[in-house]
Amino acid sequence: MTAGPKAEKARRVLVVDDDDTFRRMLVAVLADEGFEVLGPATDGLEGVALAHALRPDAIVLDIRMPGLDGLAAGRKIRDADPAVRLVFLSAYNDKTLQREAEALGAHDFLVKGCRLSELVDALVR
Amino acid sequence: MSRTKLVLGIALLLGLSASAALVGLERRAAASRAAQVSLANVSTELTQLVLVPLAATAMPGTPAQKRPVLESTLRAQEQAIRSTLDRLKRASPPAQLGEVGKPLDAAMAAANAGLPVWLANKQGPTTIKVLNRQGATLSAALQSLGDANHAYGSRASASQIEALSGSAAVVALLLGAFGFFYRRSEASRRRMNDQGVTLRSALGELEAVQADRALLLQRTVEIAEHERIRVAADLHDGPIQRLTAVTLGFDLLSNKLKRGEHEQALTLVEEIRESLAEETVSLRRLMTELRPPILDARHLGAALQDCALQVLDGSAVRCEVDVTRASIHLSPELETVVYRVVREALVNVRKHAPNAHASVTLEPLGDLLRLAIVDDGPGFDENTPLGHTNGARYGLIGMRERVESVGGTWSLATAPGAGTRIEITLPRRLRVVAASRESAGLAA
Repeated sequence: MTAGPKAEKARRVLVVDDDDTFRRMLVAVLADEGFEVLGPATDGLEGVALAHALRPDAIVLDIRMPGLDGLAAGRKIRDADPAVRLVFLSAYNDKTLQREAEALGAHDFLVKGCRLSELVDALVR
Repeated sequence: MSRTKLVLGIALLLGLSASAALVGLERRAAASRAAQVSLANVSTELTQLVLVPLAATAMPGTPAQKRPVLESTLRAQEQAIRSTLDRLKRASPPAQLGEVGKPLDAAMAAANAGLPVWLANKQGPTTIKVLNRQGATLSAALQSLGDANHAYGSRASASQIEALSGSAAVVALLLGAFGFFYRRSEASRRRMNDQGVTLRSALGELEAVQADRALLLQRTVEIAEHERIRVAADLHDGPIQRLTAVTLGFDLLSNKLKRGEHEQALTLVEEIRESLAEETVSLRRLMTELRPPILDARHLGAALQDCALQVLDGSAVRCEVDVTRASIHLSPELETVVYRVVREALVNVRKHAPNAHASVTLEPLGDLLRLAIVDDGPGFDENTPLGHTNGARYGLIGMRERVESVGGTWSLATAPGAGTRIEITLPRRLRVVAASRESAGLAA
């Protein structure tokens, strides 16, 4: 992993995660990587609303969230904006959830705890 | 052999015995009748001797011509009579039968002596004497035959009585045996009926207990499943989020160090350290909820004291914990139930009665244990519907389910302004479980 901006393809990233600690750290890391971090949103519904309002290049979505979960939110976002890059970042590593994410056109499905370089690659690749 | 088979066997023996007795009786009676018939024939033949002289006078021809025929007739009659008497003597003869021989000999002698007279067809005094002598001997022979005949009748009667007595004895014996076994069988049947009723009753109770156990098991499984779901959610929302955030923090730290941003790196290290410390506390809390370590390190009393100190720390609630009378070992399951109920109740006290005076008492109650958590706080309306109590009622429901899942009872007494009293009773299936736990510990 190399330091510095790498977000040539997806500079504007919306973060959607309900956990304060993780979300704060994720925002800090992505910003440090040179991304323009939008939001962040703390649940699925807010994520859908901000996605529609801000039109990010990419969205990092948690899956298990109160109200509208990440997959349902991602489906709504995808329906409204087929070009947006969806990257799921979840504590779950279930194959079923991965297939559902792929089915709705997600760009990647990462498990929390992965290396930062994997996340950055998913956003810019 | 079953009792039914035994009774059937006895009935069969009774029937066979009675049949054998009747057959024997019939056979003896038939034999006696045959003997009597034979004696009657003898009497007839003896009587026919009287007819010889008459036949002699009636026969045509000269005496010389008549004599061989009459002699042959006499010999044939005598032989028939003696043959019959011999046969009767061989077949269990009565003593009187022996007396027939002498008069028969006399009668035959008289007949032989009278034969010339009859052949001469003379009706004089000699003939009358001969006929008189012949009649007397014939009468004596008939008398002997009559006695023998009577004796045969008596003998037949005696045989009948003997056979009937024997049969009656056998039948009585078998009837007695039958009655004995029947009574035993009847008593057994009544006893079995009683046992059947008892068994059916016990079976009903057993089924009810089984149903209760099944329900209890189902509720236990449900509660355990809910517990696992809650723990999984806690792990997801707590440790996993924090620790993954820490990994991101290390990534960020790495970036900063590579860029030579040491001041920011140091700040980030402090943040990461703080986050890890918080996560340690979070994990310890989760562990305590699963199984308070102090329960194993000390005992239930100390654990409840510790629980009250932790839950009420920093609040104005004053609380006494009295478990001195219940210093006994409970099974781990019951200990955990007691601990969680007390914790839940004290959390409620802290939340809803922050200035109250509370007490926790655990004491023996016969074969049970009684736990009471009492406070003099504001209380509440028991009938307040769910959904209007900010979730507090759900905590009470969970508490009740937890208690009932181990066979205990739960009760709540409260009213606005009257404080709150939660009382539970728990079974004391303690020794066995405690012993097995100790055994397990020793084995390990």
